[in-house]
Parts: sequence; C-alpha cells; structure tokens
Amino acid sequence: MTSLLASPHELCATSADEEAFERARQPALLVELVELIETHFSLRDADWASLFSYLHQHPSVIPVLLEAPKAIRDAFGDVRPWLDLVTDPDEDWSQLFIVVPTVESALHGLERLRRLDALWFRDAAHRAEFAINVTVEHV
Amino acid sequence: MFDWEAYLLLARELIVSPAEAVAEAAWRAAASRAYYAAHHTGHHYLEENVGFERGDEGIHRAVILGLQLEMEEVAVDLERLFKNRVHADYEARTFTRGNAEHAVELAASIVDRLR
Repeated sequence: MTSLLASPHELCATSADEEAFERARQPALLVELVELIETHFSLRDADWASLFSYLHQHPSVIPVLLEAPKAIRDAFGDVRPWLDLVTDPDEDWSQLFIVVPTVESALHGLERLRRLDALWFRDAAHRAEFAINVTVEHV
Repeated sequence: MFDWEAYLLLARELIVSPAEAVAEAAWRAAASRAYYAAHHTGHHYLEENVGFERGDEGIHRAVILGLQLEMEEVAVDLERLFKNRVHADYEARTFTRGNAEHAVELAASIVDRLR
C-alpha cells in the first residue's frame, strides 16, 4: 500500500496527476491561510471575498502572507497588523498591504521598516511579484 | 520649470506648527504634497533616463511600475507613500502627525535616491 505521506512525485504517475494532486490540496492551504489571518491580522480595508479574489489573481502572495507574522514580529515586536486592499480612487488598480501599527516616532518606524526590508521583505516582494507591500501607520 | 522638491519643503512647513483647528488638515496636506514631490521626481527620472512610456495604466501606477524595473526599492517606497496619500486625501479615519512625518521622511529618501 502506498503511504499517504509519500511525496506527490511518488503518488502520481504523470504530471497531469501531480497537477490534480496540487489542485486538490489547495483547500488545505486556504484553511491554513484563513486560520493564520484570523490569528495574526485584522482585516480592515478588505473583506474575505475581495481578499480571496485578489489572492486568486496573485497566488504568489500566499506563501509570503504565511511567513509574514514571524518576520513582522522579529522587526516590530508583538503587533497585530492590518490587511488593507488599497484601491486607487482615481485609477483602476488594487494593491494588498500589510499595515503595521506603530506609536513610535517617524524615524524609528522607518528604521524598523528598513530592518524588515533587509531581513525579509526585499526578497519576499520579489517572490510575490510585487503584488503585496508592507508599511507602517502611526496611530 | 517648477521644482517638485518645493512640495517637500512645503510639506515640512505644514507639519511644524499648524493652528490646532486645522492641524489634521495640515498633516494630511503635508503627506499629499510629500507624495507628489516623490511621484513627480520619479516621473521626471524615468523620462530623463529610460524614455518612459505609459501603457494603459494611470500615471501613478505607471511611475511605480516604471521604477520597479529600474530601482525596485524606490518603487516599493513610492507605493508605500501612495497608500499614505490615499489615506490622507480620501479616508476619514484619523491621520496623525506621525503619518505626515513618516510621509515626509519617506519622500525625502525617495527624492535623494532619484537625484
């Protein structure tokens, strides 16, 4: 009997089988994503429907979202970021933002953002094909 | 020819000591001017250095996408500044002095790198 822990490569005879396997396990990834968002973020200028529509259009954002909480905690400490889907009021485009609330001075907030860029986001932005950004908001 | 960096100087002045009744309006105006200082400097940089041509997208997006190909860290920062400007110009939730100062520092950093 084939182990259920086998890799897709071992379970699937053809590349079409592998693609079907990957499609079938997408719901598990989405469940993980919903749990992560509910645990670590607050939806602000976004609802679940618009967020999932955006993630469907930009799937490369999903792994970056999954790793974001740890990266943000390392740079900013214990914060609960917002997720904002920013739509340009004048032009027809949207961009997903992770927004980190801060009460620090502008210079300190910018320093932490630069640290986040250096440690994680510069690379993550590439992997997400620049379909997500991170910023701070002074509250 | 107008020097768009004057908007950055104006933004700094708006932050310093606005009357209490118009303080938040001044901070919002400062963030908006700071964005436009960076946006126009970026637009000018692309026109002067890479023969900037717009596609179907609007000018704000086009400048960010153009910079993404040339100086991607500047593009990421300009997009951050754009979000801050949308808040300042369109969203009613409180806009703090810290957000205006953040916008000015970010815009100054963008302009420095584009000089």
